[in-house]
Amino acid sequence: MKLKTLSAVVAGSLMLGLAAHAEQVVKVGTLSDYAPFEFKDATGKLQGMEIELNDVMCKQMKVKCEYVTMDFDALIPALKAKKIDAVLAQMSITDERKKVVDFTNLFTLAPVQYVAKKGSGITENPATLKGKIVGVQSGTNHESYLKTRLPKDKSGIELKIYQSLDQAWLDLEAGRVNAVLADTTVSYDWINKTGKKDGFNYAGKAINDVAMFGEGTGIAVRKGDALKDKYNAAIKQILSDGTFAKANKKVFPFSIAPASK
Amino acid sequence: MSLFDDYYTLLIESGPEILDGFIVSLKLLAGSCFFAFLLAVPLAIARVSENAWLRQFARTYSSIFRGTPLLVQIFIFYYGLSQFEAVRNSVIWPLLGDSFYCGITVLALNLTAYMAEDVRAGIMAVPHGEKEAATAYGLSKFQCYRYIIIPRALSIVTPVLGNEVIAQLKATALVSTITVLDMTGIVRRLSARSYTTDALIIAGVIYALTTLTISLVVRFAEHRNTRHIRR
Repeated sequence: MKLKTLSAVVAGSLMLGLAAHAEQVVKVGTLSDYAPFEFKDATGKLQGMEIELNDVMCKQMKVKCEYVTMDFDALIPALKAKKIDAVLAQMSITDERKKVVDFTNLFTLAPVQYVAKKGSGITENPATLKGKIVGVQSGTNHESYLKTRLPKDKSGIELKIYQSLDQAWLDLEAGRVNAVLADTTVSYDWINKTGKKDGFNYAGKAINDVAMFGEGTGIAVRKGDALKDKYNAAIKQILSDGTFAKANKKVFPFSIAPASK
Repeated sequence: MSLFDDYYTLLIESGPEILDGFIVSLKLLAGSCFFAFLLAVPLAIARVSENAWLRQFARTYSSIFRGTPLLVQIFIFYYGLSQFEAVRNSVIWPLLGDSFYCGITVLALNLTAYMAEDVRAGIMAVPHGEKEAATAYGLSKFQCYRYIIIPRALSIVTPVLGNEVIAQLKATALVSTITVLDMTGIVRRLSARSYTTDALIIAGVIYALTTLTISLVVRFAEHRNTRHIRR
């Protein structure tokens, strides 16, 4: 029985290999620890909402997508160095990034919120964070927001920067940081999986700062790459045919679909 | 010429930040080497002790710290231990809770294992006649180690210890993974911000120059230590 499945898998992958010969291969750079968007499960298989949607889009674009995982702050350099062709990592569309890469149209919304222990008194008001330590992931808008808008010498907020968000959560639990600033979406996943039982939750409302955080996330490609138009068509398609809503519902009770214009 | 300009601008803009990071790196190096050396000598003596328990303890310590990657040790000490409530409430938390001190601790414990092996090799290399002569003069066991064996052993292994220090300089870069802003931590951040590797290249040059300086110091120390056998 087992042998049968195995040979079927082998035959299947052989066929895939043959088919891939004709198709264009798109290397998609992503993260391995950004649940529920993209993460590796216990067996090391990459999955998540964005992976699921991207698989559908790749089929629509008639390309073969290969995933490459790395740290968030390595994604844009890798894109520029042509190690990858697209960045699918909940990357917010900001003016700063637009200088070096092209973005597709809005793919998801990504509100930003602090997470802290219940009763900590921390809210989106910077005054409540004076003398506190905030953890963020390296290379994110959250890092630049705190550095630009609330530098330590003015706000009294100390910054701790992590290579991955997982490590920031660990340090929040250990009490090395008082709060973590991250996207409401990924925080939702962590709070419900691990944070809640230890009394962690959102602290205050989402921060409203479009200049810093952008309107939402998109898929980044190299400047002038025609891949952008293909992706735009595919995004339009999955937003209108319900694929997006279905995948969204699986992980969040709230919608992160961009408002249709 | 524009390449030179790029580096020049980078140095002007971020030089002070890189310097801060470099100082943190040097502190990590000096701190961990100091404590590792203090611990390595007793551990090396334990390694050649006649007491089987002591010998076994020293051997186990060495194989644990030399047998696992430093990065794994850093993660275990920093993220692993902090998950236990008991550790967070214990007296060692001020040490492990702070990423810089936690970094120094792990670097020192790791280097101790390597240095102890080197010192042990030195102890074994001290000519037997010298040890016998010391005993014949009526020196106690402690005096034997204090005045004869350890000084001789250390001068024999000076170049090897110097190598360990150089290797340790590069090992300090690993603590940037636990949020310590050493030189590597700083330049990684700078690179991420500018999407280039210029800052990393500058750090590489600084590391190389530091290594060169350390090896000159080691050569000088070696020269001094062997003056009695030079002609």
